[in-house]
Amino acid sequence: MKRYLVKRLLSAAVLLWLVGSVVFFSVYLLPGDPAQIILGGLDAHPSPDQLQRVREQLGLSRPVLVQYLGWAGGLVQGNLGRSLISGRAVTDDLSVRLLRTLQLIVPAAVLSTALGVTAGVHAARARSTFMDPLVSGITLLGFSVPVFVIGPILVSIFTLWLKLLPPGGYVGPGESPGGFAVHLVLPATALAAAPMATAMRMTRSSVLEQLSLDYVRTARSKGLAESRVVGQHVLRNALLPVLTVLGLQVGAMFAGSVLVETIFNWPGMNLFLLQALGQRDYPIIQAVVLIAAAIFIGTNALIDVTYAVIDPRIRYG
Amino acid sequence: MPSSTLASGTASAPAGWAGRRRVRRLQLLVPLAVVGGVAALAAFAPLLTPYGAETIDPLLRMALPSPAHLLGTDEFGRDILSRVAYGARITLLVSVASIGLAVCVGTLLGSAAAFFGGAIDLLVMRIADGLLSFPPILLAIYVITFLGPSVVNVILVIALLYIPRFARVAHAATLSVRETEYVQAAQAQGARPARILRRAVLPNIAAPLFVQASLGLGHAILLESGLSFLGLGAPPPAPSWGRMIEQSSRFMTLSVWPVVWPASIVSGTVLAFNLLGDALRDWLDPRLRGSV
Repeated sequence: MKRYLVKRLLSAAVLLWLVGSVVFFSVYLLPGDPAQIILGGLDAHPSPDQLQRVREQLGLSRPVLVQYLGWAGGLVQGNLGRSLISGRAVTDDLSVRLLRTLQLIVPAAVLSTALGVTAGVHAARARSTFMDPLVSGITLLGFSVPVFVIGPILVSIFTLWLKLLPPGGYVGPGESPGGFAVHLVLPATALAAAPMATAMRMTRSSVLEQLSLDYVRTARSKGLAESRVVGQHVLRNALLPVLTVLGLQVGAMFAGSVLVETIFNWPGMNLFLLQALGQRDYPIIQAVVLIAAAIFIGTNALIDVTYAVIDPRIRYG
Repeated sequence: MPSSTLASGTASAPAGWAGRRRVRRLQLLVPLAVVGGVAALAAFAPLLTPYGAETIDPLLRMALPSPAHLLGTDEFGRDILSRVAYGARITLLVSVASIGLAVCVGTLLGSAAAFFGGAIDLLVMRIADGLLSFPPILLAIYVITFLGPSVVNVILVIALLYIPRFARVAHAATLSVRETEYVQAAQAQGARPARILRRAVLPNIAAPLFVQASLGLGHAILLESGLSFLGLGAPPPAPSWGRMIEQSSRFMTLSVWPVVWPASIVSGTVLAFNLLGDALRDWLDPRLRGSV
């Protein structure tokens, strides 16, 4: 077990380092010069002297390798550098933005898992009733209707028609818990739709597969109540693969939140990145991409490790 | 994979064999018809409507559907049917070209890696893992920022995202046929590796790749319209479903129709490709029938 753990975490760390380095160096290949943008954008005509001075101030005139070592050294100490545009420490701004994105993703993940798993189990147990086709239909819609369609649908129903919820924006839970909740409902629902479909489909097929196995017949034939057969025996086995997929969903939700943050003007990490990409703010781009990759790679590693804890075949395989 | 004949025999509705076959045929034909319809829309766009996709009629903004403008007009007075039809050209071109590219390159890399094993295998599959360890739309946004938004670049980016996925499918499938007798027989006859891959391996791993490609076409449409929603797809004023939704949704307080049409056609097309993928899987791999 220990060997597996070390191996898995080590490979995750190497992968993260590789991704981080690729991003670090590739940022310098981005067309557009941050010094030019600071000195007034593409229409301005600063002298080469001015450009050179700004580059020196920003530390961009040093050899790229020196900058890389400086960045990596800062990273080890938890320092992600300073924004080229605002001059503020990236860590400060990024932690605020990351928190806001998590405030969106965590409720969406809870919502999609709770609804998806419940509906999936019911669909599998009631294959011949209306429940199963209903759930399959919702699943297909969840896979097919993009989030930027769900968003406007929700806005037109709950904002334009019922006038219940705001069409977008963000209020911190510290300022006003009620305002935060009201602004959260629509984006979290939009973000939860696709992962809910995945959870439903996975749970349904996984429970169905388990229901056909011999141990279920044994449990039933010894007179166990159906609720106990499903609740105690089937679910425990069926939710294992569902766990993996749900873990992957967290990564997928980070990706999905790019669009959700844009649609609902939720000032999270992704809007931060889009803005920084537009301004060629290298340290922010490097930091956000690194954090996103770390979350994605980290969840994958976590799932594998959890899986190995539950299923001994994997750690000895 | 446990035998599921008993389970599906007892658990599914007593629809009857003939009835179920009819349903199965419909499951293949209906999505095919939808995809065919969208393809026809794209192909015959100039014949379907007298307006260009970018023709502006300032006097007729946000018009409701009428005989002159079957789907109405948008906030600039552009004919929505024309924009949806010309948009279908971009979207279908992007998804077919990108997935086609990804299938070719991914299959080649994945099956070659599995077939030869060793260092090539390790290198190819680790690079694939690396690319997959990244949230797809973030990678797409990042790469598009480098290359600039254009149709060709969107095709390249989506292909880049899907190459590792097809490589994985091809890799797994090739591993399972590599040790079969017909491959060994071909080797014993002294066939060159390229020939074995082409004649013995590829035909036998095609089924899962087909299924994956059909689902991939749907995903590619989602990605393409998502990127154009973010303003990173085909540059304006080219009509693109994603950007139509983005621009018109700002005017939803005035009229929702300019959003409804592109939204429905994106969702319907993706739904059709997903259904097609499921139907193909059932058809090509009878073992999975009823389980998904």
